[in-house]
Amino acid sequence: MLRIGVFALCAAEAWVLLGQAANVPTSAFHAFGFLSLFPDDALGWLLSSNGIQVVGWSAFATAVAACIGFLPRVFMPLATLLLIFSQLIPRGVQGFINHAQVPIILCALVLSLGPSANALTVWPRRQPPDVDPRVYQATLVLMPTLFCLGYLFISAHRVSYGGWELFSSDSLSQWLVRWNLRSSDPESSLGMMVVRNPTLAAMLKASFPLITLLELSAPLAILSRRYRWFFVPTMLSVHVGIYFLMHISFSQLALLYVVFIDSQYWSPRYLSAKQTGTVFFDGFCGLCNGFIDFLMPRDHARRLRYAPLQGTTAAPFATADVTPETVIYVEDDREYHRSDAALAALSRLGGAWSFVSVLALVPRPIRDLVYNFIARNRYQWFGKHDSCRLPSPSERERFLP
Amino acid sequence: MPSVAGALLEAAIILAGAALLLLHAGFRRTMSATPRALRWVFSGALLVWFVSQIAEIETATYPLMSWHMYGESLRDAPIEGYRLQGVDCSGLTWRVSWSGGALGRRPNLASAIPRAHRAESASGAAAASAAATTDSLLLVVFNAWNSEPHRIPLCELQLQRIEVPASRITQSPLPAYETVRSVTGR
Repeated sequence: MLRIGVFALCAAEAWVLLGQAANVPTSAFHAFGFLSLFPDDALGWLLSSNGIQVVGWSAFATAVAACIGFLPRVFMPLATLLLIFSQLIPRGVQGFINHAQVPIILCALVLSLGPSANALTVWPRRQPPDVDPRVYQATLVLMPTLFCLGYLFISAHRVSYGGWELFSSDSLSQWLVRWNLRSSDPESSLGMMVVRNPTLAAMLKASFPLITLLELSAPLAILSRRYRWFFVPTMLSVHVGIYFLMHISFSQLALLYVVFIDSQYWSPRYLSAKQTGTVFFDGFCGLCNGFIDFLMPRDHARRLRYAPLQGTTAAPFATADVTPETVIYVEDDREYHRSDAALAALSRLGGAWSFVSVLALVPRPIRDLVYNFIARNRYQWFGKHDSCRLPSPSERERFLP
Repeated sequence: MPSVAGALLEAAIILAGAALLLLHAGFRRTMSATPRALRWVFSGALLVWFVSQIAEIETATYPLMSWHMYGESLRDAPIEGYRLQGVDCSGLTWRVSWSGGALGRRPNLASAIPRAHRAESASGAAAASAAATTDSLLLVVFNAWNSEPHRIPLCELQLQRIEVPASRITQSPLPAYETVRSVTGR
């Protein structure tokens, strides 16, 4: 799912940023990075309307392909390279690097080379290989590590070159004034009000070394879950404060803070070729039987098994909170109930159906509210059978008693 | 050029942070599971990034360039700001903000226009070229604004500059803006 989010951001970047460079005179462009190696003719074409269209659409199309999982091993690295390339053009007009957009590039680079390329693919339709879950975990840990190293680098420079002179001066207030002079009405901006109020200005000055300390301690957020609970909300608050005081938006960076969330709580695991999952359903329910009829022909790998809640196989799972309304999905040692079960079963179909797992990001209370409403009315809307379903001869091997 | 003492201290702090990670057994165990290709690329990228950071390579190694934000004291240097002001054909003035909407979906011009004007303080042909660039960029904004049917058409677009001495940042009101360049049309 991180791959979907990161490359969706990449596609949005390509779409938006290149429109910004259109019709800008080439004399305003400052080539840097590997663009500075390009000859003048090539740069001239690149900055022309045709060049920007070609680069922009290429970056956008490859990012979309990477996002949806179309030949991911090809398009993910390509999208990353084209994003780096396409960002050089508007940055060359701007005259400086917007550091907040660099984490997207770095995350795209990590995801391109990690095992995430195998998951949620629309083409080729194949089962993910049996990759050790630790390999996924390692790739996921690399991304917040990059974040934390960025903060470490910034704060290390500040301590080394600014030091006490920086923290004891009014430099932060001066920067606030500089950024607020860009606003439509600097006199009444929040930043100017803070600078002109002695108490608030003193608090601002005191916060500078504290924020620097927080940035220096960023690597601890990788090592300690408890510290992460403090670090992430505090840094997000700092960025929100920067937005209101200096009008500097870190929206892309803020969105990427999901990389700090422990993946085990929300990222779906995939069945390997050897594993099967079992769907327990209300055998009398028309809707539930319709759900099974939906799953079976789409389960090409035949990894799902089905059993009625009223049968003997379901007996170990018939706890006090399990009612005939409850759909249960079981694989290995994990048990899913209600909306979790429905999403898990659908996502195990593979291919485009894997993307259903994204709905798991909707908070469970909301999902189950909808589930329970439908479940309470299922007999009335979808009918009730007089007896449990009897599987046909072709279905028998996938049905459990 | 970065100072030797500063570079050494910066390197020491960064390496201390990296050591904190690498000395943690759990982190090492997790990283050991990284695919080899990713491990090599990641290590190489980190090395480029570290060298860029210490040597203060600002753009050449993009996206692995030096990150230093608000890292050095401004030492009471005056604060410079720019704004755009439009004048319609009846003489009324309109504030043209630095937002993407006002700049024809080109918020990068909010940085490009002041940068071009600052380049005018160079000597010789570079100054003339910078002036022409500033005017070209202002024309882009001017034409983008006038092409929007819901906006009051402008006859002139002015680039205005303000300089606030560091000793005056807490005082109100701010000094007056001064028009430094303008383009006309219609």
